[in-house]
Amino acid sequence: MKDRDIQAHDNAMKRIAHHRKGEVSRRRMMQTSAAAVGAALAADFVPKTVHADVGGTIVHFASSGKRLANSLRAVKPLFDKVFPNVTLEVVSKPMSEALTQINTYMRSKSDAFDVITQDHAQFAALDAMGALTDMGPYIEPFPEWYEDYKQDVPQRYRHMWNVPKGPAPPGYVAALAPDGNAMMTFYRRDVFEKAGIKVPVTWDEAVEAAKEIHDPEHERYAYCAAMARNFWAGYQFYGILRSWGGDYFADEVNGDWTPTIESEEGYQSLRILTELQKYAHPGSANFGEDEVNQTFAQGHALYSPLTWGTATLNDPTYSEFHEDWHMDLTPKGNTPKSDHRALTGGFGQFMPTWGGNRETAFAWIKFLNSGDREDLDGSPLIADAIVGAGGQLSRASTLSRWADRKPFFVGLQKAYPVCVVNAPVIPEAYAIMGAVGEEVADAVNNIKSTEDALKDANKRTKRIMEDSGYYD
Amino acid sequence: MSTTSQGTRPAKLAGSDSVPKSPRPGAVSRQTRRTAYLMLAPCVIVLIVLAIYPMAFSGVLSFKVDPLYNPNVARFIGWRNFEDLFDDFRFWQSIRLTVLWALLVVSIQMVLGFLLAILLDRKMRGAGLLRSLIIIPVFVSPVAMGLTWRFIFEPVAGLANWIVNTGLGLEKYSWLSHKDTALSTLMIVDCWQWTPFVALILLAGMQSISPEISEAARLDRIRGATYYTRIVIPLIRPVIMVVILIRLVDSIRIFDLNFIMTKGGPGSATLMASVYDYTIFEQGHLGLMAAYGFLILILINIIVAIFLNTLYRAEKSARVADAN
Repeated sequence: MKDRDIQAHDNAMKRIAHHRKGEVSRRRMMQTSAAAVGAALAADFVPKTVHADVGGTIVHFASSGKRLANSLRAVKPLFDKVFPNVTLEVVSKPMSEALTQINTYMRSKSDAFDVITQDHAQFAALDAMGALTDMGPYIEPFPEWYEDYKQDVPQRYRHMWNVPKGPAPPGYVAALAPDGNAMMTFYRRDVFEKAGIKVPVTWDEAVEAAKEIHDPEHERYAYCAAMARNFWAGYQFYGILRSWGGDYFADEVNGDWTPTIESEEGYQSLRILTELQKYAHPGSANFGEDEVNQTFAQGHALYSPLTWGTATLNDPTYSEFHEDWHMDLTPKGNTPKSDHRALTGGFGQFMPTWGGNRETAFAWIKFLNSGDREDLDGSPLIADAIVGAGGQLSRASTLSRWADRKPFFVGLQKAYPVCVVNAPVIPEAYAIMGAVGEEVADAVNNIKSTEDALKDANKRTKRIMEDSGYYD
Repeated sequence: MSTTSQGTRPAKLAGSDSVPKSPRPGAVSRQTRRTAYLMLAPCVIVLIVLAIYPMAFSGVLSFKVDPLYNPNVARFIGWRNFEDLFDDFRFWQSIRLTVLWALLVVSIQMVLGFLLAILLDRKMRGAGLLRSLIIIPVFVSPVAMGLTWRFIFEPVAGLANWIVNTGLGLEKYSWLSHKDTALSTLMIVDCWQWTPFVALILLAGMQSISPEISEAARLDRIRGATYYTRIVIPLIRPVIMVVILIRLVDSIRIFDLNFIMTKGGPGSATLMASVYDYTIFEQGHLGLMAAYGFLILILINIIVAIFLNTLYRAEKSARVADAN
């Protein structure tokens, strides 16, 4: 199986090289390369069952880029073979716009899309807008298939896609997610080994490690993370806060919505972030995740104790350091409440309330989320297509199958058992993450004091919650 | 008495039936008026749909809490969105930066544009080609330009630091990612793009000055800076005022460059009004976003009103001086 995967991947890479010679835009080339990965795999794909009875057109909206829209494009040639009478159109926009645009579409009850891939942090908002469809009735005819899915996707992660939220048992299945992600430690193993240091376990060790490997004279900066104002900085702060045992609210599970950002844990988190800036890549104050990943790939940054990262870092076409980048659990604080807590996100596929062609839309979602078992309409080639295009997976079996070639997946395997949801599971999550991120960015850039930033973050969070009637 | 009141018409009107009625000067017939309304209608409809309705909608929205992420909690809250903005450090920061930005970039562009226009006004070989070339930045897409300049100012591998470090032997700068340099770096880019526009408009003004005036100045030995301050600037003052007005309004509304290059960062060091308003939208606060939008509109109107008033007074006093 592995030989065939590698051969298909090589064939796809040759096609990419062929396209590179032509006059095509970078985006077009990336899209074509994703499709080429799928086409190369589809050439050998003989589906066990062809569903000629299912037809129609479905439009799938996703954020552009390798991981999301291009993964879909890579799976499409396989899907086309199994569902020859379905026309699938993938529409994409850059992630920085797509998240808000999806909310805007859903707020206006748009029927433009039959399937949407959306970030987990938005699902509570989608629920509040009435945009989510209960997938239960569509899953029901395929009990064996769903059992396989349940067994393979870690429960902590799988339950994130159920709404409404609350203590177990969770509500209905609002999305299925072949994609998975977690904030992890990213480090250059070669650099760490040369310096004789181990992967830091605590935040103070992380600061020491950064100090040790910092080498600005050779344009190799120890630390890099997405510190752009708004939600990127918010994620950085929240990830550290959780690992110190803090949270945005006193008790989210039991409905105590008192903001607790202005706390000892909050102070420690901001202190660590500020300390790390001394060893940061000089551009990182404005970086989003894309820039961080590019900086890692180019070799200008060597370490981030907490970042979303990308599986593409282990791709030889993306970085010459693809073998050196390794991933591990994020550090923890020094208090008894502290622990390794990986913020887990990922993108799930849901059927918007106002979309159409439900049966066909679900057939596509089911196909994307299928595992390796051919007797359940699955195929190892589906995961191979996703990984080949630059995607990252949620199924444990496929993570294991690719682990020796993608250290990123080893990190994910470690992260899922200790994962915590990447934002409070309330419609206000994105607004709060943005507000806190603005305060954090101001503190880190010496525009505000740490104390003022924490105080204002608390105040703004309280106002957002007041407006939504949490304290009535 | 009663007879008159009941039926007799005044003598001067009695015979008016026989005299053809001549239309009042400037009066239009009902038919003409109807045609005029019909022809205006498409424009008015478009205006209502695209400008007046959205503005009214925004007006209503600015008095509401209406989160994008949760329409169930939408309700009227009176003036609170405006109060929240006035209490917000970033609101004042964004207004302060926007005003500072507008004043500085417009001043720099006017000075550089004027000097460039003087240069282009000279008779020299290749002047036509030069005029065509310098206008290119104006036509470059702001997004493409912002991205290109972002790469140029990239702190580690960017061209700007290569020149500064390798060429001039100076320390590298964090152009866009340090709070003290980010705004001025954005200004450099904005001036690069818009100075040629200012220069070409001013050049057109200069070239409209009658050759007799130039000749008379030359005979009176008025040359160099005196020629430009005493002859050219007074003559092209209306052109200068229009350019300033256009650039001032454009600068206050700055969004694309700011958004592409820094998104208002680092921290809130380059957070200008439109980008902050967009951030508020991204965070889903539709009511607050609308309130801020209105405040920007008011700010622009105040500045334009002050400017037009100054222009009007200057013109008036110039006319009085000419008459004397």
